[in-house]
Amino acid sequence: MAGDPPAAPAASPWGRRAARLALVALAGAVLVWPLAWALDAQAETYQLIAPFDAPVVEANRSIFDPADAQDAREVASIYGTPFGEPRRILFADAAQVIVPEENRDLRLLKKAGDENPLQATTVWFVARMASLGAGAAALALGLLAAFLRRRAAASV
Amino acid sequence: MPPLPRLLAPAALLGVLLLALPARGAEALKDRTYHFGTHEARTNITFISEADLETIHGVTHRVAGSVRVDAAGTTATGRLVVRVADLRTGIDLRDEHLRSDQWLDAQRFPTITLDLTSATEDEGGATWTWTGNLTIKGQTRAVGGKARIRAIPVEAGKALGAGEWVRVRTDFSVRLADFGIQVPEQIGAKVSPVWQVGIDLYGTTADPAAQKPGR
Repeated sequence: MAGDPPAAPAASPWGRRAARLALVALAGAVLVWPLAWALDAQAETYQLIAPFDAPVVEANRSIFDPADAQDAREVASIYGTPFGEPRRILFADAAQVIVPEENRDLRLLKKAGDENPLQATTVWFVARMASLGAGAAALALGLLAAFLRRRAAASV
Repeated sequence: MPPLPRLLAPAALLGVLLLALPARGAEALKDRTYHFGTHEARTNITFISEADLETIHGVTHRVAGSVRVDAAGTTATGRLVVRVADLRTGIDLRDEHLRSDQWLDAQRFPTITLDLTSATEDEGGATWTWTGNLTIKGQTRAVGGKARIRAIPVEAGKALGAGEWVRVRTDFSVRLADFGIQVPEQIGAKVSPVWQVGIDLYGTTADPAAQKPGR
């Protein structure tokens, strides 16, 4: 009918799907951050150690100088060999945690050779990669949806 | 005049007290050979790779070797050998990669050796400065650092087993490229090109080979 506004171009089914997927990917790219934050909130800081057996721990205790109680590495060295600096670890096995009597503020986590405790660093790295990937996918799908919509409009 | 046993009693008591005191410095170590790797739970050689994705915490509890401290107690030489097959990172697949020819090539180069060429006691006796040759994947490079060496007091050492015991702690860094190991670009976020190596060992003067039956 003369005077009616022109009808909006009918998007192709593929265009609509691409647009929906773009929105889902965009949501994923955003939502991965609060998820990482929620996981990180579960992490605690531990000094990982390669543990010694009980006789060695007792021997080390017997020669430990209490003046070194504030030296976290020295305290950790009673129980095992410290791995670098303390780390934020998720879902640590409580049975492997040592709270040294020489310094109750410290948390040591025994790590056997076949164990690989989940680090908060890894969660954030994966979140960054997932967000980048999902963001790129959202952009590509958005462009595809726009292209299909334009092509559908041109063919009307 | 007091009888001899009464005179000797204070001296004996003093001797027992001295033995119970923590032995420090070169005096307690001199003219001895310390054997390492006698107990896995008293042997920690750690290696750390710090990268964006994660920090890899690797360890082996197996080492073979000994260190000889000279008669003056001020210098030491020795050798430590680690089998590549014994290195553990906590993920089996990663351990397999570590042993592959692209990395440590365990098949062609089954061991990593550290030859201690010199170790001299620093002033004050708290630390020692050491140098050595580290051989990885068939390539030898000079390494060195500071070591903390502490003799375990006799009384405390009795619980550890035969011999006089000593604890040795040191660390140093290893640049993989120096040993012909190139970190592939695509896994640069997972593995650092420089690893921190820590050595924390308990050694005993009791030779494990001499204690084996039939020897």
